Amino acid sequence: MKIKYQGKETETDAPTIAIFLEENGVVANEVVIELDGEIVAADAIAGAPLRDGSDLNVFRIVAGG
Amino acid sequence: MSANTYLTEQERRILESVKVGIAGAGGLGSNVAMLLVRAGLKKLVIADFDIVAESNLNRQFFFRHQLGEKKVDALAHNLRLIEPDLNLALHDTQLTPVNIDYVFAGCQIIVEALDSAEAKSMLLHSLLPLGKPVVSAIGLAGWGGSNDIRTRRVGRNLILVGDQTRDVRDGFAPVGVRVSIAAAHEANAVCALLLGEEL
Repeated sequence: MKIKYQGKETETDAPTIAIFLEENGVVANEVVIELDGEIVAADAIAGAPLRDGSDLNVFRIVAGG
Repeated sequence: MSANTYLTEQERRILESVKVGIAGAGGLGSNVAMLLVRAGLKKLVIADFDIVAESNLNRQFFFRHQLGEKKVDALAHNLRLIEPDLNLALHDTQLTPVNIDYVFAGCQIIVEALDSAEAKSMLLHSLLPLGKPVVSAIGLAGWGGSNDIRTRRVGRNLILVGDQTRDVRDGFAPVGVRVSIAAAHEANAVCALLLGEEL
């Protein structure tokens, strides 16, 4: 299926956000995840399905303040 | 009396009536608080467990004679030099998933102004599900790159400032010239949300 990831069309067969992030080397506990305009809670990504056309944005939480 | 003589009556009413929470009184939080008081806000809840250190003076709204003072007390003092008539709730405490709801109960907007990625992550994951607007700054270290610092809306209630890239753990120093840009983005986002302006 095709999803939009960070604004770019991306091919994936990952059934959930958690699996997609793992396959893309993203550590899930230091990110904010937005799926189709909604923030997905950290404890919900394992059960959050990706579908054809999903719009996924991942924002890294980096240090500094 | 207001620190901002340019406000319309309606703007003054709005900005003086709202309570805004600021998590952290360091490079981001001390400057956000200073800017919000200058904008005309009167009610702030400020939480920080740290004391003023010499390494803070490159970017934080403190002065050399305040070294060793609790940040929340030193900041309250400095804010009242701008505007004496403030309603400040000061929490000299480390924010945790257990106390964070309590500390910021009654705040219409909460500003994330912490430094470690762990603390930022804790705040976002604790507060975003509550549905209140959270203004967070992620990625603000190093020199230059002014225009890489952006303000964007994420999901329904997160306003995300920063470049989301430069991490102090990767050797980028937190310097005042750039941290202040992010702090000003955060403060401007708070005012825009309150006054119904575009971000």
